[in-house]
Amino acid sequence: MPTNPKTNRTGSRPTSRRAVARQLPHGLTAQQCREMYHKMVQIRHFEDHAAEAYAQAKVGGFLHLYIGEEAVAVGAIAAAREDDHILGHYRDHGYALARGCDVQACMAELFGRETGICHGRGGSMHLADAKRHFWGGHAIVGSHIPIGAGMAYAMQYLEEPLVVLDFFGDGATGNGIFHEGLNMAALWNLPVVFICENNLYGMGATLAEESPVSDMMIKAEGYTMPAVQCDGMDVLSVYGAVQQAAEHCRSGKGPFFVEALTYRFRGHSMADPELYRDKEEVRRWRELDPIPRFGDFLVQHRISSQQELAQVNEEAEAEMLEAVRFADASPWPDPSTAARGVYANPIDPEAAQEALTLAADPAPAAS
Amino acid sequence: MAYQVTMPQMGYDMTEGTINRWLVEEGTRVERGDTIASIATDKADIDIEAYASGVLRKILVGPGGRVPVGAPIAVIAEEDEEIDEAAGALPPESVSAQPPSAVPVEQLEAPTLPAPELAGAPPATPLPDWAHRLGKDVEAPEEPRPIPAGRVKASPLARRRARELGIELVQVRGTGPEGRVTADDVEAVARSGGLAVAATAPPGAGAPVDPTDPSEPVRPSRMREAIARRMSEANSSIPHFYLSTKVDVAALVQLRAELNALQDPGLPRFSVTDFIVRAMAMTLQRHPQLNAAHFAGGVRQFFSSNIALAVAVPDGLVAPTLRSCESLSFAELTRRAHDLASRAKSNRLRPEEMAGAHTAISNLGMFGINQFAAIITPGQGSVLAVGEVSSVPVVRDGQVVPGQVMEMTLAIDHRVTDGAQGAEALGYLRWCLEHPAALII
Amino acid sequence: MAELTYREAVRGALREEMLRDQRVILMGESITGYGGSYAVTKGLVEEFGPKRVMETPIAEAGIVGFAVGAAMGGLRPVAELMTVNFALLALDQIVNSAAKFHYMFGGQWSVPLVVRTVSGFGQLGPTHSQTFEGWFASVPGLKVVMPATPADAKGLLLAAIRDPDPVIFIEHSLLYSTKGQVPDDDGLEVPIGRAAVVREGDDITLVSYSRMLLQALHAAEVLEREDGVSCEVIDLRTLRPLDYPTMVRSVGRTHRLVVCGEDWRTGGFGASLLSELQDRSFDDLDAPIARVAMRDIPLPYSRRLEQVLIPGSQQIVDAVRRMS
Repeated sequence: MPTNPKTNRTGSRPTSRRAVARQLPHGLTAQQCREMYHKMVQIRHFEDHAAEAYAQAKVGGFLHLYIGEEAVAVGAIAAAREDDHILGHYRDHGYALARGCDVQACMAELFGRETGICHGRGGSMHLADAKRHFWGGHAIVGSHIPIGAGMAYAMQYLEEPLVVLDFFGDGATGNGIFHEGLNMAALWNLPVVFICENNLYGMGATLAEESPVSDMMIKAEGYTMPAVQCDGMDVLSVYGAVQQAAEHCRSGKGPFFVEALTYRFRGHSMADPELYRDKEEVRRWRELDPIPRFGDFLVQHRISSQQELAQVNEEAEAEMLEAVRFADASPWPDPSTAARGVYANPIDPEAAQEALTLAADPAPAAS
Repeated sequence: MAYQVTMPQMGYDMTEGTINRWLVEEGTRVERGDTIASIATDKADIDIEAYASGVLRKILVGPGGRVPVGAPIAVIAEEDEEIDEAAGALPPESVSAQPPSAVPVEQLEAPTLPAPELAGAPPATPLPDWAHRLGKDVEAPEEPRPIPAGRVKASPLARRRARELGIELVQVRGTGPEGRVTADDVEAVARSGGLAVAATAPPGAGAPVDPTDPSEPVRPSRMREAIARRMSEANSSIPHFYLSTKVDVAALVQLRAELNALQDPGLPRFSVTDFIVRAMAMTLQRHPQLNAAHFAGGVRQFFSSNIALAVAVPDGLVAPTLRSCESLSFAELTRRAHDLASRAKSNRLRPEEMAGAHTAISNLGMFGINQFAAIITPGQGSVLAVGEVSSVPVVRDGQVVPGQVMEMTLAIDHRVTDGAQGAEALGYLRWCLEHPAALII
Repeated sequence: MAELTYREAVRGALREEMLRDQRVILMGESITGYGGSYAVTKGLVEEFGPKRVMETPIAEAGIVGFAVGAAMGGLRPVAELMTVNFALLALDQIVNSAAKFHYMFGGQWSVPLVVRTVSGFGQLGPTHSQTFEGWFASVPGLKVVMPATPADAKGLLLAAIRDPDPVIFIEHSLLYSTKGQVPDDDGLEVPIGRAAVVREGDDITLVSYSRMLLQALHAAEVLEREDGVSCEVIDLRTLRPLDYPTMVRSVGRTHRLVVCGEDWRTGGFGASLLSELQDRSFDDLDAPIARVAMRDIPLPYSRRLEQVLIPGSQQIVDAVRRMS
């Protein structure tokens, strides 16, 4: 992960900080904790500005906000190696930012600009950054579950010590592809961590309406897959669970299932009137907001001061304002490039014919 | 800094929204993220939030107000900040909060009709045809669109070839399924010179019209329809065979020049065709097997040399009959021929002049046609197609000398006579033309 | 040259490429001990082991999704879907995953995947007697190959495995036992996207692929013998990208065209081909483009019914005779 230059800046209390860090759970360092807080705040502010831009019709299509669930992406991705593979679902901004993807390129993607992380071809639901091993938001529910298993097989086959983090929601567990993917991963003992973000709703369906069990980890049992449940509103809980899972996978013991109990504070998408849940429920969950909660932890453990946290928030706000400005000022994709990239190896029979004709002609004398 | 609250897009398919109610009053302080109003979209009621912190200084759209996405609905600003309340106008740096219509994605958006047209005002331009099929408030046209009669069924390739060869499709007899004109049919017409080969499209039968077809609609005259009908019938019912020959017409050309040089006011001005009519009149007498035609009851042989003379007219083609040609002097025959041709061109022929012939002559020499074949008109037994007089080297008495040659093709109904007899007749015809003195005595 | 069956040619391509490239793996239902439903993979697990020849659960969507992931992870998977009818279960993975990733993610990675599957019929009843090549061919991002001869089956499969894009490779159950000369040279590719003129003629062009190619060739012989009609026969071989220039050139000479396929008449592959050709070749056509296709009826079990519904050379001959 990129080093935060700020963390090396404060020379006044190094000894005491190091002493505290030793007591942090899961072997985390203070710097890692500050980094996780920073990521969660980044995501929160990114989403906030994405929503505003959507309201202004600068962002189109569907917009699904990760607000409230930040601890899951941040905790899980921080617990993995930075080159472990990540696949996510359509509520994917959190994974991109947690993995350190360029904030401006992500915002520009939402704006549909050429400078977007996928050049405006994917949009909000399809962010990806192959060089950071973030293999995409996937907008067909559950479709990336066997894809993650397949990537894990490639790692096993090529003897690379990497694991795959495959994120999906509770809604995906009702889909056949979930079971096909888990079945194969277990059958072939593949290094993949299935991370189920149980946020209690599959779009507008309550858990009770979509699943006979309320604990998703039970579904891993049929595949003899070890599973843990963690507090998805607590970044440390998620970190610990995924750290354990990733170690399990990396040591060749096969797949692992992590269920993170979490909640989205916003509707399913911007168009969601949220008729299926009451405001009191939302309010209660908002009290568990993972960002102030982890902020308190940082302050209590003297990892960061309130002022430092406020500064992180201010910087994130400025960063997102700049990202919006960048996206707004970015060029639209050139319509003449619309057909580019449909194939990695485009075969054009028309051009092939021309080439054949040319080949049939005697070669012109070299000049 | 003043912040313009606009009707938010709350779903990709939302274009406008209605204010249900404001949840904060003017003058109230709000924080970014606070819920400030409830709006109704086409699908649902949704609470909307403030994207700026400050005082809700002015509500621009009250409960029940329905405005497009992007339209200003309120202003949030500092307590003491100056704002233009009425317009919700903002300092320039806030202008990036544009309504969606200002977003330059024209090429991505479907064109929308301007509002006046939707409101029922008369459109500036006539509605396209398809509009007549939409909506009850559009008057149906008084009459159904007429399907152009005489629309020829032809393949695209045939149309292209016809364009290239300058042939009107209506002149072409189609041999494809249901009489479709094929490229071969067009090329056959081109080979035969184009005229006197008639169309088959059932005239006015109302073949389906392809509105996208780029061809010019042909509005056939009754004559064209008649030609079409008769020639179609002829070509499909009469077994044609063809005999061609070349005639050395040097003497004929010489004689014609001499006669015309006389400038005798009592004599008409003779054309090559006139000589041919005369020669045909004599041939029909000398070879009566050619002076015959096939009828329902069998073959009938005739005594008079009744010859139809094809005349190109603006509408198409007519072939009035010169009756009893054998009994007329060359000059008289020629005068009558010229009279018929002239009245044909001014459309003053009498009905009886259109019937009674047993053979016909069509000369396209004046159009530069060398050789072609014609279709026999029902009721006749043959038709002679005559090409142009061309200057060619000929061998006369062992010497190559400049000569003048004309090609003729005689089409004969095989039910009437056969090749050998036809050849004899054509041979005599040629002899007559090569010895033109015999024609004028 | 060696004379091989279509089945042996497909197997040969798999084997050669597995020997050449360690990244190539096979996966599918009953492809190991059983040897594959059509015995194509017989013997391969013994030679390459279960890590490279993977027996999978009966889970078509899972198989293709897994193969997509394996391809993204650096392998060259060849997934076998027992028949094209079962491929419907995997349609989401084929269309929404394999075909989309390269474009949708801005060209960051491609999915070098081959999905081998099988069309065909033979008293299998309505659910097992379908042809869906048109569906696949309608999806930008996929390449669709449908070879008719053993030589093409081998050469095109080699090209498909080496191609960086997802290729749907559709074999035909009634072709597996047909024989043909196949070049001996190991690894000789037949290029994707190029049709072949397999019989030259002057009067009419018959466009076909897969099993219908054999029917078209037979029809051409009959028409030559009985009607004196000279047919040019084109084997498309690749359905996407489609080699229009070869067809346009042929129609430019013959001016008549019959599109022959086993797909359903409504919305089938031939329909879109025909639509494009009437556009490109309009002024060259001397007759409407004719189409031989399956009637819009589920193919029933009974042999008597199947016989009258499956298009063959007689329907092609009839179509040509109706045109002239």
